[in-house]
Amino acid sequence: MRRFIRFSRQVWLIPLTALVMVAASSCRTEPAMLTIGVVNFTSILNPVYDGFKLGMADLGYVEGQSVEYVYSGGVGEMADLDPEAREIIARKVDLVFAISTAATLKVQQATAGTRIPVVFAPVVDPVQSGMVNSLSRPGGNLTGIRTGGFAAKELEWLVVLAPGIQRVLVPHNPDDGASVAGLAALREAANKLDVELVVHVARTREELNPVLTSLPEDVDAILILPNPVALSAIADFAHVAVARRLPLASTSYAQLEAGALMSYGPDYTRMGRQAARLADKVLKGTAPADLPVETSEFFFNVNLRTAHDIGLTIPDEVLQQTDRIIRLP
Amino acid sequence: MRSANSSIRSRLTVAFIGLAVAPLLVAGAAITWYSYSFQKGQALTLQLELARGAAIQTADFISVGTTQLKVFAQNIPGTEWTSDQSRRGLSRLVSQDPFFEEVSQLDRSGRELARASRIVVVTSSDLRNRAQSPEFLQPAGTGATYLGPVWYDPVTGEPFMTVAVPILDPRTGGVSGVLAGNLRLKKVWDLISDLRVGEGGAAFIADQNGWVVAHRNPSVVLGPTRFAAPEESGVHAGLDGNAALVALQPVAIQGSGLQVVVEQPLLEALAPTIREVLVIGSILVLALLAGLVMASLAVRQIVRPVQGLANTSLAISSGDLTQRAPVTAGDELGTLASAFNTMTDRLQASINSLKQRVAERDAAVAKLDKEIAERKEIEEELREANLRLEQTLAQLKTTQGHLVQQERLRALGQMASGIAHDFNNALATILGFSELLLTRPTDVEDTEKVLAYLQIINTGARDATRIVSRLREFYRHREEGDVFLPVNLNELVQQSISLTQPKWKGQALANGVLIDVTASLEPVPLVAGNEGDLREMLTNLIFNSVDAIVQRTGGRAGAGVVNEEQLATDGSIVLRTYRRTSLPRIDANGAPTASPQPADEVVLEISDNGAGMTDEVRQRCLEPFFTTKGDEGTGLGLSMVFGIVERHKGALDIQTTWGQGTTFVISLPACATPAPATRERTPDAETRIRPLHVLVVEDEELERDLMTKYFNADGHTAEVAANGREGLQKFQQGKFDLVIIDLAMPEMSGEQLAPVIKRLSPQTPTIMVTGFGDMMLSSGEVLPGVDLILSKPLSLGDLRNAVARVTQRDRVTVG
Repeated sequence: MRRFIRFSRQVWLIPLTALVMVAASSCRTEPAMLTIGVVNFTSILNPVYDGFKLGMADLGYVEGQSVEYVYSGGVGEMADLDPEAREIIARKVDLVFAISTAATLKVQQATAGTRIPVVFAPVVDPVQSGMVNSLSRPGGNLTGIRTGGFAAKELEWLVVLAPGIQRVLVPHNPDDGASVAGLAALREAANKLDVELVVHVARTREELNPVLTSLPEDVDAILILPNPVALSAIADFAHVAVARRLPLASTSYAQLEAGALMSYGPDYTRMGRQAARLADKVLKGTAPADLPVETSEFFFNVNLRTAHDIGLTIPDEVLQQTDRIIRLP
Repeated sequence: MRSANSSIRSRLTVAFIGLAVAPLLVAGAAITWYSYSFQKGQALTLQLELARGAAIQTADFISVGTTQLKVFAQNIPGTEWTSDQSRRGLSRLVSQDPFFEEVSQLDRSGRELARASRIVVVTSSDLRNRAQSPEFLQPAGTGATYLGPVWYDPVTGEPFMTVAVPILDPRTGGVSGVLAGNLRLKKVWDLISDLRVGEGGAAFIADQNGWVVAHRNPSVVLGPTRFAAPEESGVHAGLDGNAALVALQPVAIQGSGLQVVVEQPLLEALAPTIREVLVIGSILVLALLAGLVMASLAVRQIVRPVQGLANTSLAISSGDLTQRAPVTAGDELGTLASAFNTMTDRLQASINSLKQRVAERDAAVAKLDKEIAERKEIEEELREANLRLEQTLAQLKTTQGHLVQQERLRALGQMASGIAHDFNNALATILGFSELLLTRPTDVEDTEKVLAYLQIINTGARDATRIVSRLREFYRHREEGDVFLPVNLNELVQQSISLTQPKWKGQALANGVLIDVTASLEPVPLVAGNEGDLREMLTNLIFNSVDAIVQRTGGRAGAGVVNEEQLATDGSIVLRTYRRTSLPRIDANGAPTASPQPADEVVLEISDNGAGMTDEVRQRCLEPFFTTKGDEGTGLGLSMVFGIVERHKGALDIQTTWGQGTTFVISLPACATPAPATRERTPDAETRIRPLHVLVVEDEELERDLMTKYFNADGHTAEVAANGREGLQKFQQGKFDLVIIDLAMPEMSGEQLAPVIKRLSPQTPTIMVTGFGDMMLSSGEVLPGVDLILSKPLSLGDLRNAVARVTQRDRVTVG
């Protein structure tokens, strides 16, 4: 009898526990504030960051409520990337969003040995850069958006827009993987298109100054690789190009707004959104090692104002193939 | 007990839970099954709809891409187109909302005339010969659109489909070339990504090998991921391997092998059902709880009191009466428990009472044992005392017997003188008249005178006979026991008066006292009694009255013989008998004695006008050995009277006044049996008895002759024998109707002869004649072979009667 009563008392616990469990599962507890550290080489790539945040917001991450971003802006200098990356890591972030190949490499080094996931965008060739084992199976703590080689196509469009160009100035940073990869693709395309590349090596912004101040006389076009050093000086290159009535090709629409004639390559904002989707997967528990690296779309954009400024007439047939056009007012 | 108890509990529990849960369980199972089927069907239908939509869109996408190629092919200006023109045209095609990543124009032989790519720069040196490729062979051969299998970019992993359409020569209508493009199936991702199937559901497109071509999550495609497509829609393993509701819809593009898969995790698809199951489960749990609670309550309210009762019963049965059943409620069980407790209380009280009583009994038994022991001692003492008493009593009886005998002898002595006097008177008469006849022979001639004399002589002889018989009667043997026969009290009174005549007449006169004894006898019924005892009683009472009268008058000693007439009547004794109907007698304890019915009594009163008794004497007069007569009395007279009255169940009352007289009133119960015929003193035998031949055996010759004369006078004949031997000889020689035998004879006595005769002839009556006849009759002595006993002296009447009786075989004693 006594045993029975004791048993029956214990029986009460069963539904009680069940009810508590049901209540607990139905009332989902608020997730803790996520911290995402952002490491960016250059403020030129801020649209990537903006797109990332937009994408995160679309996926339900409200800044200030469920997520906070630790971002101090583009460092600008190669040398500053490493300390920046380590400082971000030290903040015990849940995820690092690395913008640009250079930043990603530094973050990769900084997170080596940790389990901190890293989402990158854009990186030209993460496999060649040693960030992932393969695009479909990254295998490590990094995944992200790859751009792939679009420099050849950039040169081809440049040739289409400005037929007859012979010598194209290409600023190059040998320390930057994207620049190196881009230059390689560019060289191959230049051969096919019978164009001579005038490579100007500049590892820092300052090293670009000689070119900007005294552009070689024999170049008839300027092409910007996804090289942050060069990209950070896009306005200057645009200025120089207009002044010399030379076509300036760059990688994305952002530089078009800065005065470039055309761009071919990824859309930074869209890339940011794309990266946000991967970040969401990572934050929800999928290991970066299992998240295939995605390839960004390329877009061909033309700035008719610049074309007008440099006295270049672009055939309608070409314009019809663009994605976006900055038209004359 | 434990098993029966757990049985009740478990039965109650099972009953309550069964009542609470079973219907819910059944209903829940039914609802769940229905809900499951319904929900599954609904979800699957929805998923199929979505899949169908996606499949249509996918097919549309591919057909749009194909259409773009076809339109472009129609617009190709035939052979007039240069390679550069072709390249630029293709470039435009590629740049169109990017369906194609790369497009090639092949000439009639399968060589690329131009190629445009979104990724790489293509120059004339990059052109290839694709004559053997299926995308050329099919359109070039059949003119049909080619839709190749899905393939994947080795670097990016993106899925592509090679699509090729023929370029027709408008002039000839023949195939002038082929337009082939790599259709970017990635564009389908956008179509799929909009498909939302619940929270965890997904829509994707799998190729002919199961590889996922399009998925909301590009990672799935780029993974790559392979889906083991089931044969048909239903519950299968989903993309992630978990159970899912899978809807399959092939994409209606011939030969593509694509199919749209819309899956939803089973748990999610069946969430409503699961929720219902949860609700039902919760209700079940609640019902189970309620059942348990009810069962617990029931157990508490039913089993616990019952168990309490059972425990208490066990305790009580094992002897612990202090246990009480818990009274938990005012219901029937409570009442039962209360009643049980009350019963236990009473039981305990009874047991306590019993214990107390047993203790008391034990004490009492101990006391009794003690008392018994004491009593045994007392009994032993009593027995010894009794023994002594018996011895004393025996001695006393002996003494008493001696005294009685002595008293009797004294009375006999007193009577003897009177008897002698009477006898002398009788003899005097006989002698006188016989001598007259003898001395005066002349008188013999006077027959009348002789007869008168003989009559006087006869009377005198009879008187003498009576006197002797009176003496015999008195002396009759007394110890024959209480043989009560019907007795005529009046006759006894008469006998007693005459028997005591010498006392009241002779002795009294001798003392100068004239006593008149009168009898006033009414007809009374017979009484059951012993004649001898009653006669003795009467004799004693008469004697006592005589003594009382003598005592009063003081007697006239030395008065000498006086004439009766000279004396005044000094004393009077009156004997009265009468009949009375008595009320039931009551003894000292108030209980009725003898017959409680009214009964006839015969009352005998003996009154005298003697001295009477003082109160003290009256109270003690019945005591043995109490006497007022000094040495003359034994003190036994009245006590013997009282004893006789007691033996006859009668009553004795003494009414006395000192100096005036005493009346003894004796009442005896009347005899219930009718009075036997009175003795036939004078039967008319002569007319009845036939002539008999009689053998008279008598040693006295005179007697022999007298009896012969008696028989002859009555017409009988008689032979005589002088002794027993002779009598036997004569009996054997002759034939006799009757044998008269004298008792005392020489050679062979009557006692010896009678049995022999009876043995020889049992039918022959025998009459024994003896001078001891009265004594033999009184003692009830029976002689073998004798039919009747007659006392001597014999009268003719006696003989006649006797003969009449025996010849009628009537053995009645006559005497």
